[in-house]
Amino acid sequence: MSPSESQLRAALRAGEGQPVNPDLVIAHARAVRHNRRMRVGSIAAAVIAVGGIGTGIAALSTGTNGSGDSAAGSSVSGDLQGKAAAPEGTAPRAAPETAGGANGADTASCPATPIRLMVPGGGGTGQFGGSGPLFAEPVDSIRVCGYAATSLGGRIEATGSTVLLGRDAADVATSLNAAAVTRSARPCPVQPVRELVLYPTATTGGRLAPVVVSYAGCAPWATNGTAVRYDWTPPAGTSGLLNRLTRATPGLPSVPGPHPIEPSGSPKR
Amino acid sequence: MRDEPAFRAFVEANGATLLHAARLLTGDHYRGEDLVQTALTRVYLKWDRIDAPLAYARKAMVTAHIDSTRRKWWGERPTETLPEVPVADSTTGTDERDELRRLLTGLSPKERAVIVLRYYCDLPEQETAETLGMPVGTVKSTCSRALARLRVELSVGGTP
Repeated sequence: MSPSESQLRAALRAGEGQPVNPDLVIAHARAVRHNRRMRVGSIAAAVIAVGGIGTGIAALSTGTNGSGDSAAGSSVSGDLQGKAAAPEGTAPRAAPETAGGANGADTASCPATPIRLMVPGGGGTGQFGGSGPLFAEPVDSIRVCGYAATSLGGRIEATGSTVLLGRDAADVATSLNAAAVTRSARPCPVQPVRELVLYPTATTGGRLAPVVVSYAGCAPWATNGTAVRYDWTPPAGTSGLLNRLTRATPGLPSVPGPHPIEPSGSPKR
Repeated sequence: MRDEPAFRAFVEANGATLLHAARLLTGDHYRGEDLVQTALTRVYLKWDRIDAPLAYARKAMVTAHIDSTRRKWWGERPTETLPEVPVADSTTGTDERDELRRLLTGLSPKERAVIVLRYYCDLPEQETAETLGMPVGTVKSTCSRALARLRVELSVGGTP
């Protein structure tokens, strides 16, 4: 048997004619569309959730390093502008005492809390490397962040920031490098903690190690974690500004401390 | 979907033809119903965007059928325990009586699709090629090969 086209057509058409219920098709299609939308919606929700979690993790990770404190730093800068009558703008700029104006070398914000550096040799004198320079290179600018405790033993908070430029920055660096490498013996005042954190930028454009200047104890000391200096007196051109940055809480007068300090650094009993 | 009455009219006018073509493609009564439902569902979901719904339905049906014949690791699996109670196929007797249609199930899915589109849907070679997404020459050769196989099978089956 060899089928002709007509035979084939006739065979294929045999049994046709059963209709399709459009209501069933439409109901099925609606269910399919509903399921598809639910699937797309759930996928979109999952993507949004994952994105939100990722953004949160990223925000948290940036918040734990220095760059994440920009919000706190901005408020610090604004605080400084009110106290030190700094020029307009949100970024820290040179205060009126600083000459030359801002050069944009370092306009980053300050952390909300001061960095902690170990004093070499536990604060003693003559330790190895302690007499080395605090600023290893000539300084072009210094971002200065001020911190002070609200009371005796109270929490340390940011009080302001500024950027020293050109000669002012160089004078501060020079005076700190030239400060005493040993403690002096003198009456020890009890006062709330005041600290300056200096973020210097070298004339070559590189960043130098930060320097912490603390007025917590009897004599101010400064360290970059390797070298240490005592009894630093800021240059005349910037002392007013720096003092305002770390001013103690009003109403807490300084009183003489009970234990004078010997040059060796050990308290006298 | 904005024009549901039009879709309903389309199904009422072409549903029987599409269902029969689906049964010829699958060689099975119920799988044919599933296939035509799948194709018409796709038509429904794109009704507002398609210009030639019948051609789209034919193409969707053929594509879905050929896809279903491919082995998929995520697809349906044969099982010894059937979830449904078996029902007697009302078309079994008809299939047995119609030797040509029985032999049609022995062809490959593409050959079967060419035969159904050419000799049941009466599509010209060009339109068959467009529906199947293959060149016209391939349609001709596939059709010729399928017809030759049917002739051979019929001659073998007719030999006492």
